[in-house]
Amino acid sequence: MTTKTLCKTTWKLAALASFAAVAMNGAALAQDKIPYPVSTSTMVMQSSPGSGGDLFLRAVADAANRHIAANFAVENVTGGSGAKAMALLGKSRGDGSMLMGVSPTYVNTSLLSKPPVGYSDLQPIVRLFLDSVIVVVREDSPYKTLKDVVEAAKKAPNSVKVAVGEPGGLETQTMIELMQKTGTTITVISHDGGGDALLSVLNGTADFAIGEAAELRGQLDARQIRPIAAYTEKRINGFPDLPTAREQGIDMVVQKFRGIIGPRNVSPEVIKAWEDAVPKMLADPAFKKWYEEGALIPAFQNHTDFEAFINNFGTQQKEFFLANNLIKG
Amino acid sequence: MTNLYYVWEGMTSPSILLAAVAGVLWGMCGGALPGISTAIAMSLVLPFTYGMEPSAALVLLGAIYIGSEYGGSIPAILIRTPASGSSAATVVDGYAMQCQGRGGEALGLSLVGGTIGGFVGLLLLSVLTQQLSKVALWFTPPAYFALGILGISVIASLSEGQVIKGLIAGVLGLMVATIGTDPVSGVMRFTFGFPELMGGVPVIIVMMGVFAVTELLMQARERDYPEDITERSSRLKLPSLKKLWQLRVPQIIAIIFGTIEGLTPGGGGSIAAFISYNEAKRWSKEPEKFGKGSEEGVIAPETANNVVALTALIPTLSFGIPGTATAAILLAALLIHGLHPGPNLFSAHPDVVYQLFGGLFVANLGMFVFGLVILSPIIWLVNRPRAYLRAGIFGLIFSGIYSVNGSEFDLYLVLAIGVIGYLLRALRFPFLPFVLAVVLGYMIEANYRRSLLITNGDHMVFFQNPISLGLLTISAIFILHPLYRQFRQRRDGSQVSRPQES
Amino acid sequence: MPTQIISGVVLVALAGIYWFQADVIPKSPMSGSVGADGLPKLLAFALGGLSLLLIAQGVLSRSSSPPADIFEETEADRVTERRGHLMAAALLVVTILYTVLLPYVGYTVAMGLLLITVGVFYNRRLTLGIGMFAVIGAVVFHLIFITLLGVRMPEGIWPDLFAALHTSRP
Repeated sequence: MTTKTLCKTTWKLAALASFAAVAMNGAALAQDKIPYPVSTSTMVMQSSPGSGGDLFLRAVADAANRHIAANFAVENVTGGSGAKAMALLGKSRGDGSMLMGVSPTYVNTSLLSKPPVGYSDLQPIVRLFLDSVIVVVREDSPYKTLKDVVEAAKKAPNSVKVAVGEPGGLETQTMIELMQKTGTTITVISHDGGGDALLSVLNGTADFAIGEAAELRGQLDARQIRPIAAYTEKRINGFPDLPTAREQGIDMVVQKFRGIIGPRNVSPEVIKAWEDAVPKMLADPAFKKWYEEGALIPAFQNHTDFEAFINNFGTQQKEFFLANNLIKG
Repeated sequence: MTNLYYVWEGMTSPSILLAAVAGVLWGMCGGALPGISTAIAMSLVLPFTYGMEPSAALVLLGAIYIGSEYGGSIPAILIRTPASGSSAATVVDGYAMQCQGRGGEALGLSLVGGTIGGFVGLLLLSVLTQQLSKVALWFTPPAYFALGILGISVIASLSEGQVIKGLIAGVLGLMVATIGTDPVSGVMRFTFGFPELMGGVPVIIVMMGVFAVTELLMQARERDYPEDITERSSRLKLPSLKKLWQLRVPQIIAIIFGTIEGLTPGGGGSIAAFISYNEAKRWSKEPEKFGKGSEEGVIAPETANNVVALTALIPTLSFGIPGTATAAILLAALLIHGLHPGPNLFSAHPDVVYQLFGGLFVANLGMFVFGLVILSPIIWLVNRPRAYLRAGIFGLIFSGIYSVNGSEFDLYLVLAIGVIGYLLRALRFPFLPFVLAVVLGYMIEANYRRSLLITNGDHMVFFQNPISLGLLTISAIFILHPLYRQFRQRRDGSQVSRPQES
Repeated sequence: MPTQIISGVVLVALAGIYWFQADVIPKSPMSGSVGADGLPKLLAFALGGLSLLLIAQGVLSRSSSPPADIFEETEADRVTERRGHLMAAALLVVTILYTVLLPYVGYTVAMGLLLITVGVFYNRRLTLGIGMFAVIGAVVFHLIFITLLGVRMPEGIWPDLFAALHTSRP
């Protein structure tokens, strides 16, 4: 009994701290807010608190609270790599009371594990960002550009090794595309996560790694690793001297998107509210500071474009999975 | 000098003190609930830390980690239910002691062991971070593979004289570990179309199944129910200094393996606890007591997982690479507060780092004090009549397992594993090799195949890497030596004494 | 011991099934030289071989020293053993029932039912104490896991039922 009351006290203390935080952030003006069909809305996140996706959605909810006349709160519904969250969203009403923050994972999970509710059963609403995916090497590496890596791989197949995160993920896909485009063979070593992959570069197990700029910041600042290319459309704001893969003659852009989706029957009012709000949110100074620090590239797409984008992405992923035997036709 | 001032500030600032105390308490309570892993206990609180000052937020989370690693040992010892993977190794001898009415002693050992582990880990963290962060870089795939082999090489000696049955149990465990996404190519293996199995069978579910569910099924076989005996558990009893000195070898072993596992990503508490348990047995003067209530068997894993809780912060702070899934949440908290972990963190934000160390010192102390206070009511709770206790344990297991993934599938999974455990025990197969193989299987296979990818299929890499060579040599000696001894005994004794085999 | 021989045979069969399941693991160009099916096939062979050894050991010990075996079973032992397995199976059925009912009756009610059935199972009879324990226990579990930890436990049919009642009564 004692333990329980004590636990509760802890909980209350923590709750108090959070209340203070909310009170500080909620000091926006009530006027000029975009109307919304419901007063409270839950934003579902498939990964656990503290993960990249979770931080993204919390920042979005925070900014949305300042620009949309509703209260957005994030709820983490983990399990089945998003299958659980998609099932919950699929059951919800289309009045905007439940939305979901997504990354390519939700499309991949839909294809790989065929859950009851998949990406094609849900409605894309808006796209907000693309992650800046970059290629890094150890500071003392002989490779100065992505071209150097490709040249070395051409000379001796399988002599160049790349560290990627989880097997079968977007990073592996990027590598396969690179190999196909350049006609090289590079050894792809998958790890249990991006952190492990970075360690492999630091200790020389792998020659280079692919990752998101935000995750690599600590090592980049300490000059232990060096970026050699960015898989983005344009040069990244925080890295003006870093040439893109395209500039180096390799025509590749990695589309690691972040957006908001709803259930199939989501109402036009909800879509309209988000389409109006996102440009305002992206100009919001506090939000801007947050996403620029994280090297996220604002890449707003309205409902129609985002839907087309997702369908196209889904088709591409399916082809990739089929070609690599990750799913059966 | 200013750094020392920051440490002092961390130990005296009211907000940090509050965070340390509240965190360690919450961690102990959460950690003691099966299924509420350290990561869950921390992530539940994480949103509330967004508005706190950075050092208090970090202390709160670090304190939860410390408290939770200890808290897990309470149900492990008292009701044979490991609350997390890292407390599973404690079950074996902790629960054996509880059955002998020495539960209070076991709790004392784990409390003191955990506190010592915490302080040693904190010392390493605060003094040797820069040096130890280099150790993390020594561990390449061949070295991880060899570490896994060292862990698993103990199977024969865990087999209680039944080598064939022990090996079979080990192979079955490795089979369970192959379920899920292939670590190298990402194809699905043995998932039979269940999306829930994509990530593999979670270690915590295996542990709860094999230990807790199996035990409850075994207890169902009891024919008569004698009236409840209440002297099953004694009062909390702390070990004397003399006893601690006698138990120095398992503690040193625990500190070594706890540090290695804390520094290297992927391993985490469960591997550290099991390897420490194994090695404590191997180096023990009384290995025959293991599994039957050995004090060394309790203090080794419990010291190890608290060492991990602190040394896991070394790569988190100095590389920005978390040593465990739990440390990943701490990393998130750093990022939320705009602190970029990495080699520059110590020079850019010494105040936050050293206040964190000060706060963790308080948390460790707090854990010891709270342990003294909360254990008595918990022992009281466990001494309720058996029917109530066992029904309550079932309730805890099912609630805890459900909360891991919010999935009913996991409930069936834990029951299935419980049945496997029941069959193993009923047919007199040793079950420890099974558990050990489940814990280590993934690490061994993934790193074996990664090593071969790097060398394009050349096995020599395992003998060229010094760490791998060393660990493999030790493993080989440990496997061959008992066989050699047995062979000599058999030859010397010829037909006089045949070894007991069933 | 016949049980040893039987378990050996079952394990050989398991090894066979596992091998065939390993054989259908999709091939992937990213698998490396060992392949995703490398370890599984090795394990299938290992299990098969060890199980054969187990059978051989069983046969040998049976033919060499049957009466001196310490595990020699009497008829009474065998009855106790069978009864024990039945009891364990009964408990297993109770827990499976809980899992089946959980999505329908919701977490709190299912927990109360689980506590009372398991309590009666071990206690051998229903007492007022067990009944009260089940009710209080269900509430306490609800408080810990739903209220305090905020776990999204199954709600069961109650919310839908309640909503239906609410709308049918204008």
